[in-house]
Amino acid sequence: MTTLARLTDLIHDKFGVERDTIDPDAPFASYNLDSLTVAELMFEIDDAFHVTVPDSAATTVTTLRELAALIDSLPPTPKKA
Amino acid sequence: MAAAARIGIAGIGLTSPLGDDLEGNWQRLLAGQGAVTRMSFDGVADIAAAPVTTDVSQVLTRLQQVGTERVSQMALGAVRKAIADAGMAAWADPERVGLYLGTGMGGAATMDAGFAALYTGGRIPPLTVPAGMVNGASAVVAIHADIRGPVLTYASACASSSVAIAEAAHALARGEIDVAVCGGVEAPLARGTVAAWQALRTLAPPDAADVSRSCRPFAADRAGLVLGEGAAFFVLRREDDLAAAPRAWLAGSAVRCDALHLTNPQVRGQVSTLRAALRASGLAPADVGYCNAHGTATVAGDPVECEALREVWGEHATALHVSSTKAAHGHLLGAGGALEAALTVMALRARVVPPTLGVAAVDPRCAGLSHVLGEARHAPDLRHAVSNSFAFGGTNVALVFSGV
Repeated sequence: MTTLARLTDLIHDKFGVERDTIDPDAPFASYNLDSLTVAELMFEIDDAFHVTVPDSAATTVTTLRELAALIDSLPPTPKKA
Repeated sequence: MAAAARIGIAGIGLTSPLGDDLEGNWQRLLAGQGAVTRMSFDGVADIAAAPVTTDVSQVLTRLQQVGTERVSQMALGAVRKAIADAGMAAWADPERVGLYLGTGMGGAATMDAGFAALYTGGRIPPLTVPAGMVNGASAVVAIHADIRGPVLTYASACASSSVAIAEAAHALARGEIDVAVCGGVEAPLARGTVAAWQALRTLAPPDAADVSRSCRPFAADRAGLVLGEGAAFFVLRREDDLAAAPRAWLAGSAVRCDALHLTNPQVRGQVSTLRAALRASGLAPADVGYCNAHGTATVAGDPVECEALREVWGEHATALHVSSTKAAHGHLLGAGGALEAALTVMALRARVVPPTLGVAAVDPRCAGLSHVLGEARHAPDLRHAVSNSFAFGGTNVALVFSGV
């Protein structure tokens, strides 16, 4: 499953947003994810994808496709000892 | 506008341990079906508590729930019911509607969970501040009920919602707003909060024979308070603005402070509060036939309240019906005053005094009043009633209601 598809599932499962309203190239706000919701999404992504999304992403990433690309570029978070 | 506009209760809405509808709460109370049960939290001895058992999150979609928590959801549910009960849908002018919300601890469970994660090597969730802040519930209610006038949060522990109701009525009387949504909410049934209350040694243990009788206000064998959770809200209007007969009138109120001790209640402050509330209502003690007492069932608190009532009611004290409905719904802390005010209004409407449940024998130090125990009592002459809220921190509130 692609990162983009997994993200779409995550948004659907966590926030109840219908999959067919999620346009990966449109701003998050176009399917009603405001800045707080995006912050919550980034927090969930860290656990779901075992990465550490930088805080700056909350302001620099504006679409789901950009977010998927960012996640794919991040190294896995080292496991805790 | 006349200076002495009467303030009417146009609507009442509840999210209560006794259920989500006002009439159901009342019937359950009269039937003696308390909501106190046994609850367990990790690392804490089992407690007796009165939880809300419905799924309170249903008031919001999952997307809307982002940044909210139980305290906000319970508040919004009760506010929506109060507005519907008042027969109001959209506001004529949202800026002339005010929200006066009392809560002792706000989003305590969110702060608790966030700190617990942090202290155990995890991450604190990003929305801990907006969900946990003490005015978080006020903000959520304002957003979803479109309240754009004064939106204010009162935190005076167990008197919070009574303060909010008193302040809302003043704002209406001053003409600052045309509609007041007022009351309170509390969601203290989270591990850290429960542990903190238990550490203060004020909580009653679950009663071994019958857990529903764990909270026994005024009883010789009372063992402490029982935490509850929930929300209760009123829609208040000036008499001239009421579309229909109100459920009751808020005749008057008073707010005072003991200014003596962090937690121990004092007769002096309670007497002064009750007398001031009667003066504000234009009533004499003999006019008031029922007191919904603060009555938390603590060893220290109940005798002080009864002494204050005896002092104010004097020769009429033995005729004053007294009960504490906390025996049935627990102590809702910042929301307690509002829920008890709602039940006081129901008593005026039915002219029936609800009982203190679970009490076999009254402590002699609480005697000299007409305690209503076990069974509800018909009170055909009941016209006025008072609801007391006496808080940690010393803030005392008495709300006086009159029947229609």
